Amino acid sequence: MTGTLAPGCSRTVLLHPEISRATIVQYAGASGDYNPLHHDEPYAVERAGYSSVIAHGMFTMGLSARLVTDLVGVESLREYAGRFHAPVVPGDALTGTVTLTGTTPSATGVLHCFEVQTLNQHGQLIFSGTAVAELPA
Amino acid sequence: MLVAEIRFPVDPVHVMLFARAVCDDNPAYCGEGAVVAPPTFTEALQQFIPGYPWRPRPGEPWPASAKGSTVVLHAEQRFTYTRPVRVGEVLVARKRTGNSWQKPSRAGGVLSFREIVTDFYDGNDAVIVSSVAVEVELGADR
Repeated sequence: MTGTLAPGCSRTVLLHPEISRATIVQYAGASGDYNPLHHDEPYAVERAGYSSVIAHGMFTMGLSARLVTDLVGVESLREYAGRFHAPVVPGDALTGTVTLTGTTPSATGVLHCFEVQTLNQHGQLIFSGTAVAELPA
Repeated sequence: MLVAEIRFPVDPVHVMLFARAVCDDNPAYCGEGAVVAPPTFTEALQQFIPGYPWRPRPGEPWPASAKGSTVVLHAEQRFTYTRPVRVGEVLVARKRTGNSWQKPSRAGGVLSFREIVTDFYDGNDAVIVSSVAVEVELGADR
């Protein structure tokens, strides 16, 4: 089941309307990653040269996973990979697009291949990735 | 080289908190009906790593907090799954170092990349999730 998505078709979702410092701290608490880049403004600005604290890359990857799992569920996921292109700072809005790029028969079903892209409100690419789900034939 | 083996109990409250943190209200992750964890949940292994450097400790400075030292960023991440992580199971994570390489930065310095590979084993000693994190170290000349 991939909802109404056919090969070559895409679906775009507003993943988060406005990332806040609380959003970032919430992820730090759940993941256990308290790297000060993510919550200590002087450290992030003076030491690392960012305009502000930045969200964890894995927050964005986790947020973006929904693009695929909302279509195919969690049980069928076989691969999920991606690259972090630009930082997310407080005030950013994130929008994700998932595209079903193709399907291939496998030994036990059909592999569905997806591309994922997450952009901020300026249209800047934040995260790009791929996913593979194995669904019944 | 195997660098660590860590026991990772998959607690339902932890799964719920993680799902909330990635803004995913899928009922499979939350409440009494929770059965599985979100795809990136294994990142929360950090909570169980003894001496994890990015966990605050009273009186101890952050690693490499002196001015002019390097900053390490997470550049890329890959997961492969044979099945999802299930609520209530106890995993064992085995971490090892993967490949490492360097390339010139646009600023004229050097970017150093390294892979951290973590395999998550279930109670039958079968790998259910493999995670490869690619980290990049930005030199003080960035």
